[in-house]
Amino acid sequence: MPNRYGVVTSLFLSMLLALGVYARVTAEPANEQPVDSCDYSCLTGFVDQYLKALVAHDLSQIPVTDHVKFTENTIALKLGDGLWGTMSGMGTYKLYFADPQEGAVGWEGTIRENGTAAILLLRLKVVGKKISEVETLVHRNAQDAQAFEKLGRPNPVWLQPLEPSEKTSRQDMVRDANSYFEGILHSSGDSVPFDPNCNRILDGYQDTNNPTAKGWFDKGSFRPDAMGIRENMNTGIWTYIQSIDPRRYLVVDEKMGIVFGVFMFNHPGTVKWADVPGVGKVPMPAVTQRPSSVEMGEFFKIQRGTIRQIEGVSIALPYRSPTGWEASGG
Amino acid sequence: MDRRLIAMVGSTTLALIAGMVVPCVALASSRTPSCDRACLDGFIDRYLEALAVGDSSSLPVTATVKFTEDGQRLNLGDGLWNTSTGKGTYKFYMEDVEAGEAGFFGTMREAGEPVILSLRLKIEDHKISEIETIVVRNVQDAQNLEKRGHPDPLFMQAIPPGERASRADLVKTANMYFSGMQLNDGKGNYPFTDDCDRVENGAEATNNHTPSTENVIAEQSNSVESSSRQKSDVTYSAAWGCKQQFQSGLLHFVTRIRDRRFVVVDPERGMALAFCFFDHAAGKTRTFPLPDGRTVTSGPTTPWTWEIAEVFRVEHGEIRRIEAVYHRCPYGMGSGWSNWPESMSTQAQFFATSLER
Repeated sequence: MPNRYGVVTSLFLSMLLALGVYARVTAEPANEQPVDSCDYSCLTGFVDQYLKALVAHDLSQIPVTDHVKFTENTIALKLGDGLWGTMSGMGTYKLYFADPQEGAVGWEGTIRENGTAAILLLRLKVVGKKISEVETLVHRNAQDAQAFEKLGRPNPVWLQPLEPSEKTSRQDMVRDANSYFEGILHSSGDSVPFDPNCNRILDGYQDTNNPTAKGWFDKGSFRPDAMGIRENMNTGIWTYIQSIDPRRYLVVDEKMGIVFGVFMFNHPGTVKWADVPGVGKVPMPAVTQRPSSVEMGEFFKIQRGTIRQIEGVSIALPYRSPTGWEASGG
Repeated sequence: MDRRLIAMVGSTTLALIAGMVVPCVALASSRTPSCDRACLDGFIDRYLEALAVGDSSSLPVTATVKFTEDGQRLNLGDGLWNTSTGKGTYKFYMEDVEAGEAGFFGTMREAGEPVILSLRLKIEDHKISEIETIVVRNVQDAQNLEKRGHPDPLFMQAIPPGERASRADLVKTANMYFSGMQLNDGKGNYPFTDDCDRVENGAEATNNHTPSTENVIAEQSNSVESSSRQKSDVTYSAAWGCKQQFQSGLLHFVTRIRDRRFVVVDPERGMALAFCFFDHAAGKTRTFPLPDGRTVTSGPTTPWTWEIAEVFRVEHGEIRRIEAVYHRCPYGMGSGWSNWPESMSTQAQFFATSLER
């Protein structure tokens, strides 16, 4: 699979398919071969070039292939539409990750849109020094964007390259990240190789080991956001997530130990409560009682075969929305 | 969908593009309407009864029945079928006997809370072949609709036989609403009666002098800024009538109204129901001149789209009543019923009978 899903070898993919893990992993036709002529700094340079052009609303500042594909929040748009018409400046939070082997690069950061803070998650595919794919998630919530900016800078673990002894294979990195989703679906944090210091920050908020956070499921002394991520997952509060499908692994940054992907969380609205060990039945909040999907752009720091840190950005979507990147062309 | 793509410029254009629709003409002219008004309403009732108990197994559906909820194709039985807990009290039935299409605006209960349902069924050989739904999950909007009790009785009044418009002319008039709103400049031909009224998700969107509902659109649009006058001078108002709203030029920020599918056309009642999308690009089009020459900056500051079902009562070539059900969706989203060119098109599409081609 010499394409953007090439991070998973055929053999490994077959194994995961057999396990039902990659139920809807799709592969684009390999019309454009990734080239290795764009190294790590070249790829992050494309991100900078794209963002600069975006602020200037000037498509001519970026080199694109003839059939460049662009999506914003899963919808295929003409490059130049959507955020290209409204971006008014950069924010202060930013994080890069790159995959020279696949010509893939990602960026999470804050921006200004007509003067209002928002979160942008960007993925570019670069082929022959031209951009062939642009996938964006724009989380339009100023408070969440400001929460990211209040953090000042990304957690240092994201910015620290792996030592040789901390590295694992690309396949193992994806497998470890994928175990997180299996853990959610099976309420089994114990099956996920979490580092004891692992925390998760979603849309700017840390929802693990955070004693001051107020969560949907708080009930008396039951405070899931104050728990560690393993314990949090073991509670079963995530059972309203009935499937995480598709799971598209798009960037494997071997240098930094980062696995990035875009994942569709589907909520049929049928789960009424969580049966929390030691607590009993905890009612699901009203927002989970109706069909919905949430697309997460999520990335994992994989260090010594453990998940050291998780961060992500979400967008709310109609139930069972496609990603815009299905094999059929979305 | 079994429908024609018609450029709503007039009958000349209709004739000019007739060649484009020949393959579909044969298909359309071969079918004989077999489900009358009561029959179509009956299918809606059966659907709602089944939906209320979350059991689709009793519905007569074709082997290839297609179901969408909020623009997404689902298996019949998924989506609201999983979460519905009962019927609501508001019911607005619409019928297109010629096309075999039934439309419905109403309320349901989902997890015990009221929601608005916009429903379209296509009936073929007494089976349901297409199911299109929009579910507005907003309790207040649903309660507003139920407080109205029933649709405006005007929608149900028969047009005297000698005064009935053709299907094409009904669509043409209703489509002028969309064309007049898209990049609205206040200078178009807006075919509204003087007593025209519009209801949106249960709220009076015109001639509404309740202070709390004034400037509804302005508030929804995030911000309204004036470059030359006080905001009150250039703020769109729900207190205005249909024509005044369009003549204000203040709806310019609706940058595109696309995928205009007129799915129910009923000449007997002067009714046309369309599903479509209102895009707000929120870019340069936010700043625009008003008819009086002033320049304003107004409208959404981020790109987003309304997914809409909107029905029109047309009399003597003018729009007298409008009712809409809508909610916000991702910018540029498709309906699940159109290919890409249709989805992006601003032309009206409808089922034309053989007599009108």
